[in-house]
Amino acid sequence: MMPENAVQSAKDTILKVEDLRIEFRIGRKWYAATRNVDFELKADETLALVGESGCGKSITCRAILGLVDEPGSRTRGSINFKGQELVGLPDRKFQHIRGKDLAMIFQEPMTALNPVMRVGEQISEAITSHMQVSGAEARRRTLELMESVRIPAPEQRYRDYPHQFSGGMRQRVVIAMALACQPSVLLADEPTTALDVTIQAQVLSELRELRERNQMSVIFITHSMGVVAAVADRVAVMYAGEVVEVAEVETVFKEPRHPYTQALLASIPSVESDKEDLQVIPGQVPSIVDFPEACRFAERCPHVMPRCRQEAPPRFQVGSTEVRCWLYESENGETGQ
Amino acid sequence: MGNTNSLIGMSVFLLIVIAALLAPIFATHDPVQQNILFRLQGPSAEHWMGTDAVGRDIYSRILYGARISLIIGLVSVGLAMIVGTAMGVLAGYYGGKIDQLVTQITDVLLAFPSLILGLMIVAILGPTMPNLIIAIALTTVPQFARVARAPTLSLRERDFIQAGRALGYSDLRIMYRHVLPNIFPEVLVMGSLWLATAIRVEASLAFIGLGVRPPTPTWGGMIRDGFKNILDSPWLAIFPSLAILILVFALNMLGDGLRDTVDPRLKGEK
Repeated sequence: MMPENAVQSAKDTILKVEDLRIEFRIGRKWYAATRNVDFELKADETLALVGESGCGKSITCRAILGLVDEPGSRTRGSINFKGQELVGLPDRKFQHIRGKDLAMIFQEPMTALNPVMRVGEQISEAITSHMQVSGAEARRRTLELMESVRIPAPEQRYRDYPHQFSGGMRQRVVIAMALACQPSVLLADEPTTALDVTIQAQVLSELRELRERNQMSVIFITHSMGVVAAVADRVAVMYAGEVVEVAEVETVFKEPRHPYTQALLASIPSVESDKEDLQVIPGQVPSIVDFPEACRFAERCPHVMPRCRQEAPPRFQVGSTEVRCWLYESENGETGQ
Repeated sequence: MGNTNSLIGMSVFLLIVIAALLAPIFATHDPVQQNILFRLQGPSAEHWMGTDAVGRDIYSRILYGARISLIIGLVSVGLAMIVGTAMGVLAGYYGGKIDQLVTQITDVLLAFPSLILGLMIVAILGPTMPNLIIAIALTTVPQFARVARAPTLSLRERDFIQAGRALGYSDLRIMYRHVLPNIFPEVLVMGSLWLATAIRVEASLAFIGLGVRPPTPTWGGMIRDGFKNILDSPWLAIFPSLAILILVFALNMLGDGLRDTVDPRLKGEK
């Protein structure tokens, strides 16, 4: 269908997010839930979007799919998907991209399926809503999909309802639906958080396999550094609605640059260390109504300088890492606002 | 308990439907054939429920009258169910201006008791069967709009509806394939309960002279006619009243039972 896909080299950027601002109106004022969200997703790679709850990971994902449409919200900046600008794209056109070329899987497999519809029909609907195929063909592809996500006995399971499936099996159904039209980008919003640990590992390795087989790019949202290490090629760290650091996965673990990333890694409890106490980051994430104009991490930062409270840091390039922190001002030139 | 009740209600309702459908077979006399010689006779082997003031067989008239009650009831409630549910789902799904509009229309219509509203509409349009159906449907539409709107509001926030949007499904597809099947049980329960009300309203309108025109037999009209002779020939009014009572009671039992099945939380509540 897309011959240009075949010639895309591994370096090609498939999705580029620039200065994404998602704003909400509270009272008469607009508040930016996210700002300075910049990252690129290259073909055939997995980018992990990491950060604590409420840092804007999920809403960034929803914005990429054009699903932030609550009254009193607006999206600014640019999301470029294969040369097409998605911000401001009318919903009618968006419907042809969503689910077809850009798909998403959700955190909660228990509620992501329609309880009164057979599982097979739900997968098959994901196919027929975007492609003109006969009922028999849709069924054949559905069974294929079910097999590819390792649902045993697809012929029998086709007619089952979601409540007859376990959590891990349901998440596989959700994945099958997302993969129905062979999207080139998959957004996975904490797809394993709600699963128990052994199933988590299974689903993660299966997702990796599917990514390779289907030549997709994946944005993987998570708050678990362990999951990041397992799936990601590159990492974008988010704090309070901003992307503060983007780097290769090894670099992030070896040489975290941003003080928040350092604190985040330091707070992972280790089996080897004798320390009884859990390391915590002092202070709290500011609320959306009092996000500072300058650096949003300043209040909790151990290396805070006067400048941090006056001006928001631009992106600095340190080696292969992009980081938004004044500490790196002297090292190299800035790469952009 | 709920199951037994709805089963009894269902059986009685089906019996009445069959009787109405097969009225020409079950009837012993022509329902409009007058026979002045046999007027105001009590129940007998020849006339099981007696005859009215112009000698028509009451049993046969009740059978044919059931047709009018059921047709008007079913068609008007069916229409109201389709229109009202569509309105409620649209309002709940889109919210905002559409929701405000639907809610306001619903509130205005609900402000009138159904009989008064029906009476006004029939009085304006004239008492023909289509007009009666429109009138009763209009009084019932807001009930369905309300019943459909509330669960749609909460469904809208459910993950699988959001997942549907993320899969690029159109709003229409989501409403039809994913919202509707999930709220259908509630709507169906409402349907059986409001069918009883619709039949009562039709009978009431006929009783005050705004039903389908004579000589077509209607239950409400028969009670009205029988009222003149209530002291000397009470069966004229009693038998059609019983017919209404049994039908309405059966439908209520059916609806209550269904509601308990659909929503176990309401079990045992009055």
